[in-house]
Amino acid sequence: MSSTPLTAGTNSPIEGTSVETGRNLALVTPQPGDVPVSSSAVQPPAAPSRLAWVRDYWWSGIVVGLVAFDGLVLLLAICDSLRFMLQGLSLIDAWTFAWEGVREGEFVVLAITVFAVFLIALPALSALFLAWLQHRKQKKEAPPAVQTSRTLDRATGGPGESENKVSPAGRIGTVNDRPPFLRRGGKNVFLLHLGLSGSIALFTVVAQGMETLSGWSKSEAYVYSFSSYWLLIVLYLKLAYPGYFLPVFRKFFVRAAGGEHPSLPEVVREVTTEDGLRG
Amino acid sequence: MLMRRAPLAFVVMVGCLLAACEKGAWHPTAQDGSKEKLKIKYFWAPSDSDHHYSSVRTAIEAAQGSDEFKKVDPYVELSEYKDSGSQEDAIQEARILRRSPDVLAVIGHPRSGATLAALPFYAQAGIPVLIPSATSPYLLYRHAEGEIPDFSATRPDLEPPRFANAFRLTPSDIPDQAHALELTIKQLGKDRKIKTPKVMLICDSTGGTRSSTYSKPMCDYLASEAGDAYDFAITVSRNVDLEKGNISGVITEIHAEDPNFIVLVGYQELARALLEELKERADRDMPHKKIENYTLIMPDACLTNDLIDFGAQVYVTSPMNPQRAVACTSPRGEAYSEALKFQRASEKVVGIPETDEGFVYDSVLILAAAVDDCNQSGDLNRGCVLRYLNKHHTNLLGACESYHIEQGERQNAYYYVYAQHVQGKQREMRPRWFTRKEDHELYPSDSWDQQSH
Repeated sequence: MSSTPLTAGTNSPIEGTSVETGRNLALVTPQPGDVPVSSSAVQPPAAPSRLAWVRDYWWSGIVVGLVAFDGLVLLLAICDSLRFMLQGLSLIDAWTFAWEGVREGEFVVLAITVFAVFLIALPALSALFLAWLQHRKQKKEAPPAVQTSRTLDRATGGPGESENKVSPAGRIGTVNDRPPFLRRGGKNVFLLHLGLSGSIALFTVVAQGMETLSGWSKSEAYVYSFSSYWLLIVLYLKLAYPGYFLPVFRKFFVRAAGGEHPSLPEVVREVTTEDGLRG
Repeated sequence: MLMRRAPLAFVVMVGCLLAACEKGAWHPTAQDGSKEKLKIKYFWAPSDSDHHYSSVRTAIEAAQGSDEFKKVDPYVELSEYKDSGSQEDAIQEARILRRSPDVLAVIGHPRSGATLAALPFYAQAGIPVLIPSATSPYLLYRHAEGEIPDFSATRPDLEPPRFANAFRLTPSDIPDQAHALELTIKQLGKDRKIKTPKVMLICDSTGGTRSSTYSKPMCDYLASEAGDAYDFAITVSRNVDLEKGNISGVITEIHAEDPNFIVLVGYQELARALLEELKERADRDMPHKKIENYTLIMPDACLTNDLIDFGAQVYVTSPMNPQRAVACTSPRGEAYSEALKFQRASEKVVGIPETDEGFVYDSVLILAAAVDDCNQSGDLNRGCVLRYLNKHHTNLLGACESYHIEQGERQNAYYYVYAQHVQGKQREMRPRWFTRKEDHELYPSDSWDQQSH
């Protein structure tokens, strides 16, 4: 996954050890997952295929911090399990119950979603975050280079902009520039993240089983007697999606489709201001 | 252009998935807190007699009209569940209730086999279970699905762990019911001046664990208490599966052995088949030995009122709910008696009283008190109801009596021994003796007032 060569004939933007991106130079150090670097610097740069571009972008987000994040979630899972057992119910029974539910097609969708979030969205988000860090750093280093910064921020590569074509990995900066937890992980980090993501998805199944087994409690309203902290976070994000994230994404993509070059922070600011929200 | 923002598209796609996933039937959300009610599920068994069905329903209807239940009516409702009596159906029902978060408690099941199969599932969800009529000693011990717990009546130190969520209002067969059967055999032997009565023991094994859950512990107990050195001897012991076995062969053995007493431990389906065959064969093959000459001793699960019309001498041991035995003068007891007056008059109950009726009624009162207590503390849920039951386990108030329950088992129970009473063409069962588990003899039922206090 990390070292698949580009399709022949594409315009790779990162041939050579450094790439000129407008007025800024971003040093590209070969990393696992990076597009392989060719020594034939004289050839015209080849553009990556869209799939490869996405793949590289995603792979650049596989950082050590993801594993730390997984660990935090698993600590929360342990905390939930202990709280469940303190109610006098058995964790083994919850696993048994959840497994029966899975066999009948229950609890699965949310678990798959969580797995997808951890495996696809989190690396993409961390890549986005890294790009933003790099962008900010570049702005600080070269304040007048507005045009270049915008070009980087837009992840260019369309017709007429081939001179700005840079691999996502290339735009994110070097290993040494980053805080330790944002350092790029290799295959082992990815495999560890894969395993932990699977465990978290599995726990999401069990957490739903634990809540169901606990039954409802009537106080002011009917709620589950046992409420999983982890599930609370997941379901809160689910509720936040239509109210907050969806308007942001919609506005962003409508503008992008209209030929504008919107900046995500700007759109977030607009949405939160319009709706009286404070993001 | 859009594909250039593909990483963000991934986030959007996953977000859409997150938003699209709805909670399923296994993880429902209360739709409207103001309209929802938590449910107390109770079971009635259509496979049993009409009398049983109507007595459970009558008890529920009477309990719903009680002041205790009216107080909690805004928060809980009683919801019926049909129980076919089979273990497969009981497991299916228990699985459904286990994943229903609105179930607060369960009253049931009617039969031991079904209760044994269902209890592990209720325990997984911590659902409090009040057992009004299932009496097998196996029930309260933890066991895997489809298995009988490793229970030994003679080695209590080897007992497996018990379910913490089950409370039995009717006493366990071991030692209470089996002890009453044993005392009845001895008493009848003494009355008839038989030195060592010959007993034929018939144990119901119809459907495997479905029936043997109930019959096996009592049969084992009686077998361990019998012998030449004791007051009676079991000359023949037979496990009979009504669906596989040959009743005719059992009757042949009865004719060959000619026992003094036939002890039948099982359910009424087997009792009816046995009495029908016994009567037919006695009339056809043995005109010198009429069915009236046979003496049958049974626990109460064997007998429905119509079976006494076959004509055999029948003695039935039954746990006594003092609501039927003593004048209950408390306000809640009077309300109970008033509510059931019409029922008793309309049914013209002539046989042994349906003890389930009283235990089901008391189950509702006990749960209503627990719900009221939890609601006042602002924390109405299964855990709170369980804590209430555990806290008040020595003194759970029914309509006329308080239940002393230790480790889920009823401690302060009495047993009646009913005997057939013939008056002209009218036959009915009347209490003849009573006993408790700590007693070593039967007391005449007319001495109840003196002996019971």
